[in-house]
Amino acid sequence: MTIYRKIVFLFIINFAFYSAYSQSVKSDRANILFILDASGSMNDVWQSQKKFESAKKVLYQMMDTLNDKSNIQTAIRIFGHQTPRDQKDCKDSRLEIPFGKHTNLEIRNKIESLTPQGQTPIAYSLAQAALDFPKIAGVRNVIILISDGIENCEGDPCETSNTLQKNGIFYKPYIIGLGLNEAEKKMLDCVGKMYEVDDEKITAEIAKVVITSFLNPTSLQINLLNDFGKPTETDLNMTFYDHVSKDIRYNFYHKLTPTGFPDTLKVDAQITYDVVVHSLPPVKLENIKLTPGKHTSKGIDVGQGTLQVKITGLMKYNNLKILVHDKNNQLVNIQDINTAKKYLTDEYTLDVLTVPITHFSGVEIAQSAIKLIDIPAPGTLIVNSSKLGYTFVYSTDGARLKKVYTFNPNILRETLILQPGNYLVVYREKTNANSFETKERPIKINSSLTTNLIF
Amino acid sequence: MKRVFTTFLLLFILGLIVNTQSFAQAIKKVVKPKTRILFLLDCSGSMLTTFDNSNRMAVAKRVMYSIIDSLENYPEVEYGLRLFGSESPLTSNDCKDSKLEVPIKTKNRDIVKQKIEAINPKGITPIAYSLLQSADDFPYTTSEKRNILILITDGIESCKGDPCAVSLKMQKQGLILKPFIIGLGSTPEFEKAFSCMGKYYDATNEKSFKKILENVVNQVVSATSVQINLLDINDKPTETNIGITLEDAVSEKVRYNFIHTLNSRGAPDTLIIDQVNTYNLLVHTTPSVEKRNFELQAGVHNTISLNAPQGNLMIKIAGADNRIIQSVIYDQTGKILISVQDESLSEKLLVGKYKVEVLTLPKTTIEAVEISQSKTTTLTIPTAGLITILNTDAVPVFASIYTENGRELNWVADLTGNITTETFSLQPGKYRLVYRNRSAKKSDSTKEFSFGIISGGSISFKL
Repeated sequence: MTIYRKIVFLFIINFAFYSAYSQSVKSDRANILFILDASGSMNDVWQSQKKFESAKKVLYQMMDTLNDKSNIQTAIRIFGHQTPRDQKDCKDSRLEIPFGKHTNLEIRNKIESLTPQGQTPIAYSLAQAALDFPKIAGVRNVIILISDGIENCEGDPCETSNTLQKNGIFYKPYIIGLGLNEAEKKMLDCVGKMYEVDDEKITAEIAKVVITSFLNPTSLQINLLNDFGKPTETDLNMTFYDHVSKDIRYNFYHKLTPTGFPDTLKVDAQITYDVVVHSLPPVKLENIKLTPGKHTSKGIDVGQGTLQVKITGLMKYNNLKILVHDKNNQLVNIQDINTAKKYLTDEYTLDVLTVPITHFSGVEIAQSAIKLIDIPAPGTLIVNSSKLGYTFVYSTDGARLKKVYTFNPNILRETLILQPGNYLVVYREKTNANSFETKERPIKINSSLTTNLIF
Repeated sequence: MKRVFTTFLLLFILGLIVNTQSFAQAIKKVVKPKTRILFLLDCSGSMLTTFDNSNRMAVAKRVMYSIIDSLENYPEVEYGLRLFGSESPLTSNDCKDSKLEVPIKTKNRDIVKQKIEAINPKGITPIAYSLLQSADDFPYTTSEKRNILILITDGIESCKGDPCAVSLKMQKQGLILKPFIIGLGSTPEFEKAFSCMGKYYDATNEKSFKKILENVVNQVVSATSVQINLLDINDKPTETNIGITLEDAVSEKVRYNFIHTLNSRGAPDTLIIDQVNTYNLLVHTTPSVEKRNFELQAGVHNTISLNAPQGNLMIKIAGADNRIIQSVIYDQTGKILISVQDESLSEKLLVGKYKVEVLTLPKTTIEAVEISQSKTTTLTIPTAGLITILNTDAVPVFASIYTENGRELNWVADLTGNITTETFSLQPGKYRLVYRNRSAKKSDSTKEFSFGIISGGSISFKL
């Protein structure tokens, strides 16, 4: 038993094969496929005329708007028009007019010649429609589906829509429904963006909104805000992810125009984005929705300052690194000595991998300021032993002794690059010894000077 | 029965003598610093109270003579005498009645005896004030010293001072070691009042008083033997060749540094050390472990045990690729930095789990690295591959490299962006280079280059 619903839908499904052509979305060219429901219930009268007449009105209004656009091609797929309802033909769906320019007349003629009669195979039609588009890079593929019935062929348009969205085949569709009841609205809400049509005036408006959404430029501006709320931060890369599919859509190295304003990004208007600004640490802004045909401006707090750690004098360490931890002790970055790097304004903990580790806590990075940290140049400790032994170096500058280095017990002479300070070197022969033969030598290491110890 | 007991006692005493001798030998070796004793003697009016068929003062005098005679055996030990309550009568309530009668030095026997002989108890008990004054009684020296204070008293503080606080402060400043306090005719409040100030002993009669004072002096002048067991995961004392530090528990000043040694029988060797201190034992494993606040017993072999199970960690690069890679070892939570380790070196760590960040590009994070007793855990990091980015005309660009893990870009490195050639050694994986001319008018002139890095491979890309 098939139950027909008093509905007119408008599905707009935008196909684009981003995984292959990630630059394509910057194009203005579009292929629009109309899918028209010509099932039996379209003959029912709703708001003093047949529903099929209402559907045609919406369709023709959109086609008229599109007719003079040289960058737009149109086509039409129709379902439910070939087989009578009682035959329950769930494959009654056909691409009647393929893509071409100025197809308006052909489409009108086709529509005027048919009689609504059959089933409502929406999911099947969507799947077929994917094949209707020419495989051309750089063109936005759009589907507009007009139907008056909820799927009645065991297909699940909702699931199909979600699966295809997640796979990056198309984005959240628009749905325009006529006279939907609450249950139907709820059911269709997961398929795409839905518009309800209550009378003809609104029908005209919806047509306009829908067309505008992919014809007029929709733009986005990301304001990278400093600590004073001014959009002066820039030159950071931003990765745009599709909020639904999680796919990477764009990378933009943020740019300020010569007048000092963030420039305008041309991005696909039908996607909800998550944007990650690759500051240190990165900042994520989720769920950025664009208003079709409008300019959207979003602010992200990424106030930055600069950190530079320097060694004055002779730099004897090979490849000296600085671990930069945030307040939660998470490793944010590994910075090289004598380089500058920008960080979000905050407090950080630094561990410079000298011997011993030079630790700084509560290092404050302030807006636009350069935090310069100077590490004294190391000295050198050379330990010679006449017999192999265990040798440890303790720092004596803290409240308690702290081991800072263990010498290799299998060699007689070892050189250690060591920060200036006071140390205690303890040594004991490896074999035939007892604890009391532990020798201790307090030493003071000075920058750039060498201290020799003989055990 | 009685004879057996006597024989036993005799043997015991002989044993003590033998022990003392062997300690005396050890002293020369171990209790190196100059030892200085200040006897602080209570001369308050209550010292005239009857005690063990005599009075407290008379007993104290006799015991002091005997001790001072015995100190003749230790000519290097310096000592002096401070009295309180000896000058002003009880009624005048003189809280500053405290006087250094004999300054600390060697060869003091006769003058100290003379001063003790002349004592006429009369005043009150200003202990805290006397302690404070005593700080100056120990002559200043830059060389190592042990300043010992022995308080003999029959009453608690009667001048509103806080002897415990003063004592603790002086110990922390390293002015004195933990004082000894001998109480005569104690009341229940003595224990509480004095145990926080130092090592408190309760003398109930002349005999016990003498024994206590002898014991105290013996502790001061002799050392004791101790063995430190560094236990492995099976509680066997097999861990060794680790630096250990014994520090005074109150001042946290270092008393001894040893490198732990097993003797020829494979057991921890015996250390002869000063027993006056309360100790902290710090074992310099990675991370370090410690045992706090323990005392050593005189005349017995002390055993101190501590868990220090160790295993080894080695981090290797699969193939030589000319990088110098360090690794940072964190505790399991990743919040506490424990050590930094060079590649291909086997380093000891305490048994347990660690988080390791290998400072490759990008960093290689290895969670829950397990170190097991006496085993070497080896982490092998894949060989890097190279990417060379050519910017022939050195056009200034903003450029950065990201890993492409799944569908996420994570920042790895920035390019300098104004030189002709930049080379990066990257771990194998998928990457994306994102760049834009610095002078570009719009952000949508940002370009991308996706690339893969394989171990030992080398690719180049022209901007």
